[in-house]
Amino acid sequence: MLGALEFFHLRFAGRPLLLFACALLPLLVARRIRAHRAIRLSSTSTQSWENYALAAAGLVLAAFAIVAVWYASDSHFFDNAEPSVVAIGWLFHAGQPVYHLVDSAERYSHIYGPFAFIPHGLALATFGAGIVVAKTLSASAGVGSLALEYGALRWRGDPVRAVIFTGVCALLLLLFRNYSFWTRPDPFELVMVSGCLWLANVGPGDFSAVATGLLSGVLWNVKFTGPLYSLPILAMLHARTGWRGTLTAVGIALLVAITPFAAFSNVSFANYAEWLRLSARTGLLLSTLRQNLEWAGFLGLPVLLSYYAVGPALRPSGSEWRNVLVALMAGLIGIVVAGAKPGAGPYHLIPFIPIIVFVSARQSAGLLSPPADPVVPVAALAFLFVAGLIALAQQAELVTTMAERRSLNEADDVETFAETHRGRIEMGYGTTESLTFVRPILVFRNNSYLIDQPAVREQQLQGLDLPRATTDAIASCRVKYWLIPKGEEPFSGLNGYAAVFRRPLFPEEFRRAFHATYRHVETTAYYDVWSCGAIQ
Amino acid sequence: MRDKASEALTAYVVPAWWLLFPSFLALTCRLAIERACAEPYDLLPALTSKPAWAWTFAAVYVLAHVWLVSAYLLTVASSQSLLPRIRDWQAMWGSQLFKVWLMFLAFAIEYAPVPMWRLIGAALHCPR
Repeated sequence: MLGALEFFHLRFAGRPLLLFACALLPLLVARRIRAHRAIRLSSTSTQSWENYALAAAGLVLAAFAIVAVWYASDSHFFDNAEPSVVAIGWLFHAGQPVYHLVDSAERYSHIYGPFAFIPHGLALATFGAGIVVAKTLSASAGVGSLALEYGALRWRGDPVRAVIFTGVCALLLLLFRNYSFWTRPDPFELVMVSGCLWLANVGPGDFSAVATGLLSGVLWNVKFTGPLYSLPILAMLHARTGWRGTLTAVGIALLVAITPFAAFSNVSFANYAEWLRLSARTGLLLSTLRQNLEWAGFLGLPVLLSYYAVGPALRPSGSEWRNVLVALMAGLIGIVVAGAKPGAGPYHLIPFIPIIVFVSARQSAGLLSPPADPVVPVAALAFLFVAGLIALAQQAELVTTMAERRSLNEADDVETFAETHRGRIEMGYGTTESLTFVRPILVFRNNSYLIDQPAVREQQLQGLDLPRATTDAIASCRVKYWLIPKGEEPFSGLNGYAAVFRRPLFPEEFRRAFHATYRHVETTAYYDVWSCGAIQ
Repeated sequence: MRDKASEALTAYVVPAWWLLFPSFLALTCRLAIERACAEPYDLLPALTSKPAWAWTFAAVYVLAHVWLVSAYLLTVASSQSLLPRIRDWQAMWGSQLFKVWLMFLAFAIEYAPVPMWRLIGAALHCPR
């Protein structure tokens, strides 16, 4: 079973629209054959369909919560950039620069905005420095986004349908493995979008404008593409509050977005802008662009199906609703293109999921009798079937990978070594990467961070080689001990990005300096310890 | 059943074809050659790594998709069916229907399976 899911995951999980077409075709044929007793909802069966849907939604929501909590309950990460975000969050708390200079010895800056790191810094400062604290924060944001989505849906509809659509939202989030609760900025984006959706649609207009502006500011700050996610929400706000409310929200959002740069001396706007400028040099990948378009098409299906689920008289109409749909499409197109940068991908569409579900729920609010177009229930079934299949394959991959990683105990190994050795200890890199994911533990101790391999990988893609200052830092023994995954050649990783494929991440000069300065002095359960030669 | 918005949109979609179709067809043919004879998943790397070219290609590529989706949605709106029949397309587009078919053809080239292009590349003995 797992083998079949893995095969499916590798071959087909990235082709949702193709799978949808493959699922729809036999269902349409079956419907035609059984036309006289077709898969059409009758008015009396609507209630029983709702009951089935409610039960399924409950199961999906429970699965989402269980996987998110399970993932957060352990110090292992799935993805190589998750520990980077935690480490930089701690550096923010420690007063270190979030964005270092382009030519400084440190190599850890990423192009996420400060609000991607600040919540982690605050959580770590409040609840103690630990990987599980940061993971719990992200998982809370992921689960919290579903609670807010329910709030937004409940405000506009009955509780049963609100639960069903929240379940659909959870199912669509599970399509993207653990991205909605991993320790990267995406859960924060999700919770902000869901919060904005709720606030833009409830309460007095002035309150909505201010509150939407506050949350949008965080959203815009987390990633520079944030405003694109806000477009449909601003269109909803505009429908309720007019231009005054919309412009108030935009103004407040801009103020909030720039606040971290103005309020914290260790958050440099100039450096952040420079990293963004360098990132813009990488061009786009056409294969990723095509993939993004396919995912955008797939995720857009609920909007189309829900629109035609009800008769013309019951559909939301008027220029205000049309503006919401146009804004949603414009935002999707913008993200499809921005998400085609090397290293990006369809997961950048995740923050649209709560909006798509909300729009679909509103469009189908009048659905009490059989859908106006008989194709709708068949297509909806095919959509949910494909979504369920991909989600299952993605979650199987997550669970099997994490179960394997959880059997290791490298965090304790690093802690024990750090307890028994004095001087600055940093995580180095070998050929593989997963054993380096516990590196935040050492950043918590050092309050500094010299080399983050995911950042080096990105910077190489941007045409930035490792600067002389980093090699000098190695040669001058700035770090006393480097922990390198056991049995691996130090700093021997290769870049996986297509444009710089298989190029060594660390240049020969850097590795020569390392070998001239450091000696392999001992081995722990998981790491080779390289110590500065001068202390021998 | 065409409302004013549909008519206004159609008024943009029809002439936009002259701009989009030739450039999209040229791009898809070039990409097909790339898939057949070079690296099928890192398409036109020398050009797409330069932002100016990358954005130009992306604009053509995405707008062609938007054009086809718009054509489909307009047909759906006029026929009130998510699976419009041929006669619905004919009723919607009339003498302009060839534009839709030609755009479908360009999409068929673009979305043809990569293994097919690899086989064609091998049959043509093109250098890899």
